[in-house]
Amino acid sequence: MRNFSHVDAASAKEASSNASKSSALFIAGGTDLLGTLKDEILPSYPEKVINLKTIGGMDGIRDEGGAVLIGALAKISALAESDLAIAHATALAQACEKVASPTIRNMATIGGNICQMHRCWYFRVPDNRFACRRKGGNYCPARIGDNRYHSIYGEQDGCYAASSHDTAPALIALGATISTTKRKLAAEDFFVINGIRSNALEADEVVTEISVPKAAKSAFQKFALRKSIDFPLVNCAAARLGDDSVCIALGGVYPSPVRIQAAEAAVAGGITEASAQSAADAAVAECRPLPKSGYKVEIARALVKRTLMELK
Amino acid sequence: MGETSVWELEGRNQEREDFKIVGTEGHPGRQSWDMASGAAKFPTDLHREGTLVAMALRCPFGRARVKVKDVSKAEALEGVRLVVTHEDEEISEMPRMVPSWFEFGRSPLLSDEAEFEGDECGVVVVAISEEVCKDALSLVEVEWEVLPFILDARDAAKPGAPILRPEMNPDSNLTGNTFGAPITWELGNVEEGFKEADHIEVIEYGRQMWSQFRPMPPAYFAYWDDDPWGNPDGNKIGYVTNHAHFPSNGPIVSAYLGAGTDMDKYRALSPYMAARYCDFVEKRGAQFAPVLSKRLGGVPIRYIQSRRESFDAAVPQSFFTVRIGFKKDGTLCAVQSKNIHQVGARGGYGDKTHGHLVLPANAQGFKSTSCPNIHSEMGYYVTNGACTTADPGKDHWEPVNLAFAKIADTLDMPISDVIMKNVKVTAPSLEACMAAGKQAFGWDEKWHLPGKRTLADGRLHGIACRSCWSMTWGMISYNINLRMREGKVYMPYQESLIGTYWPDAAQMVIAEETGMKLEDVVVYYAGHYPNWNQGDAADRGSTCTWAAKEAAIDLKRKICEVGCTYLGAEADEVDIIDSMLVLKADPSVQMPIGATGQIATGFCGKPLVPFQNDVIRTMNVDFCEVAVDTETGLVEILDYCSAHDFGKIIRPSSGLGQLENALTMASGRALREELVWDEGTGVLLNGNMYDYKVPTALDQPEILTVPVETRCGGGAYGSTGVAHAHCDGGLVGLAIQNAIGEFIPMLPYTPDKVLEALGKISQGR
Repeated sequence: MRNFSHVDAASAKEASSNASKSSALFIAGGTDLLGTLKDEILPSYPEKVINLKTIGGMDGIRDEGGAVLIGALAKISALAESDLAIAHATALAQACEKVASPTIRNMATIGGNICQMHRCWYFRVPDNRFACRRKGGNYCPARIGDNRYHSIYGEQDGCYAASSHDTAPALIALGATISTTKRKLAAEDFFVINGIRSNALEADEVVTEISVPKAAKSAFQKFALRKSIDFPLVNCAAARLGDDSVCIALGGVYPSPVRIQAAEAAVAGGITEASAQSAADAAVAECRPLPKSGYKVEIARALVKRTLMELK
Repeated sequence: MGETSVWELEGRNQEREDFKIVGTEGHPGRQSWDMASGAAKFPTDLHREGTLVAMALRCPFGRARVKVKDVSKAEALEGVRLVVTHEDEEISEMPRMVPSWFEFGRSPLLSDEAEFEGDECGVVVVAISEEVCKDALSLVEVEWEVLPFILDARDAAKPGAPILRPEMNPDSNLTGNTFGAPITWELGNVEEGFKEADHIEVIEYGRQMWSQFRPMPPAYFAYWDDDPWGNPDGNKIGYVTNHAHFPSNGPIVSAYLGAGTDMDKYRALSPYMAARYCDFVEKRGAQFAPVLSKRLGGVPIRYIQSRRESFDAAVPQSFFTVRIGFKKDGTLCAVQSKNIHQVGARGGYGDKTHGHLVLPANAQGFKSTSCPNIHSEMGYYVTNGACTTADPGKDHWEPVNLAFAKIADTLDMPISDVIMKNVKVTAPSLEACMAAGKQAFGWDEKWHLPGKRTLADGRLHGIACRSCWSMTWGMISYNINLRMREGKVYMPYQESLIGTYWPDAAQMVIAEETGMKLEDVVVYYAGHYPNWNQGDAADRGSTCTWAAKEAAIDLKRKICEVGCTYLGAEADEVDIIDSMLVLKADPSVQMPIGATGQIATGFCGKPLVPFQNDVIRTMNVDFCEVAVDTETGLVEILDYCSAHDFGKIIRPSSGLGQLENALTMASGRALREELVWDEGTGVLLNGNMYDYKVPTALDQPEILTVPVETRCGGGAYGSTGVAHAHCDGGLVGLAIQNAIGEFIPMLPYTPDKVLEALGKISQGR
């Protein structure tokens, strides 16, 4: 790892202001960032790493009437064990329970999880071996390379990576809103290819809070090759919202997690074995897998159905 | 149905039956305490004031030649202490480890050609920090000539493939990337055998490269300093980390030899290193660190190899096509086997594979069957990608068991019956393992025809078993030295420890044979004890107890010869019981053995059994139960049972622990593990612990170990090797076949392959 200056922030605004003055990255749990810096996977190295953990009062999980309000510094393990989250944002609590391992969950934060960079193995090769689309290059090496873990819904801005956040589909399905030092964003709009980032944040923008509307019922499923310390090949969340509609989101299938409205329509009349299967088929009807990622279509199909059946 | 092996007990005390210590439990090992308490020091724990860092230029391409044009900017950078290039006179004269029994391994320690992405080449920099090293390396002006590379041994075998090592043999332009013509072995008349067959089938088996399973990157640390003993020539002594579990510190010593020093000029610093699988790949860092340190007057040097760079050692690829002929009753009558086996880049075990495996590996397994007609062909092909390490034994058995499964599938027989019908020697070892394993696993209750059982959760259920030999490893001479002083027996060891606990097993054997209390036998690490070949690997670790036994017997004899006079008796009239010398006729007459003064002895030798033979005396049978999710292709191993003939189990916790370790490795290799390179660039894609998917604790199946003791092995009391036999994942594939009715020809059995076998997808591969 190279040297950088490490600065403690007293507030999100101060962190944001500090970041705007030089090349900087934010650190909370550090479970993603430290590996990134050790391996030097990015085209440039930050002069400064701004520590958000010193910001007080940004790690709470509280009941705000119709929503669960979650501070960006709330630990993944805290969310997985939160009675409030388990009762009203079940899919999110279940997703948190599936993140990595106990030690990582005890370090990692919800803000960090939604801001983690992609796990595409071309993007992650140390020493920036592949100057891919995300790093200012003009091609995606995964498109013609080994794409077994990559997108099955085509490219986004020329990138074929697969989103790797465990919590993102749950936040989308639950209709969460993400607050930053600059704005509020619907979770569905938050996750998007943006240079090296997997979200819409600007370089000096800090996630401060996540508001998750309470859902009557929600569920989450994750498919990975290992039972712990693994990123999803595919994950899926579904929620029954206040108006009794169902919202379904898939992760690991596209550079950003996607809401599957065709599948939602298939269960608009209620969830049965048959309608769940129809929804699953509809969810993958538009898939355009890469040469080696075709099997993920079947996994996505299975997960959509299984997740919906949990809402039945 | 098979023959019986009559094992003639060889050597002294092989027939011993009265064990007081060997085979008993409740003896916490010294290593266990070290590791559990944190007392164990690994190379990464080592540090000295003023340590400098060394790093090499790493090749960013699949294969390339580098021209070092200018190092002046790097040399001028503040904090840089030394820059050496491949043209450096001393470095260029230093070979990498050269196995004495193989002629093609020789290659320079640092050359201008890199054989794989991440390979060291061209330049090494020593500086005050890793960051300065990186900056200095970026200032070195180089020019790369990208060369063609090959990642798959099957591609290397194709006519017209790029010749990777033109110097390898004079005929390389004719023979391609191999050491010569494929090795063949023949028994009977294969074509006649196929004429007798009622069924003829062709089976495929293949596996990609596996990592050596190392959770911690090597940490090469070295310095030169005065030695309290001093040196007649006034030279300092080199202190180095010990990174080779075999053969002793040979690779490091070769560096000294290359640098004009000698073996007695070094001291090993740490006995512990991270877990490795049969690591015959010697890393340049082990040789660079002491050489660079010496060049700088002995200053401590840490040579950096990152975790990703430590994925440069792999278990080789192997691809089989086997045509089998068999009769209606399941009897194998003809085998025609062709094997393409990989030899990786220079510096690995692959360099000597050709010389090591005396016979075609696939013939080794089929030779152990009763099949009278066998033709086997095995070719070794060099590739890029990584160095390759050892692959002892498993190749011999994976295609054999696949053949048995194919027979079972064709004839609707349990594979257990096919095994017993076709393995040449079944008694006593195989019969005992099969019976004990079937009972423990519940084979008779669980077995069904392929595709015929669905679990309550909708997944398909499958089981299989397979047989394999338990290696004797009689080829290596072990060296044990013992000294009795003041009532205790001391045994020094020097080899690095990778968790096989052989010193703890040797301690028990020594106590058993000498009559000492276990606590009066002291095993201690002696870093400067120039011992050679105390086996610390799984199989050698078990059988090196032979040497410990022989040495202990001799020590006891000497103690009795000296001590008997104090008791007014002859040597054969006294014994040692609980660390006391006693008169056999009247055990109340006794004296402390310490009163006899200091007595020492040693034994260097090997178990008196042939190394590779078609009569396998000790066997094991593994059983596996899986559940297959037909919607996602995910395979879960539910139960893994291993009935292993230990011959004689010496230290139960070590022996059974070895089985669990090996089955863990097998489950990872079966379901997830493979090294993946980008085919276009030769860049390794999964050189990290996220993307190279070793099993986690939650991924472990239920593991049931069933020890069998037939006393048929070649080690002490008929003991035998353990772990190697269980490290492959082919058995899981056979269980999947029992579940879904289809064979999958390539490991690992990942969801894409399972879904393809089920006909749900068609993947381009």
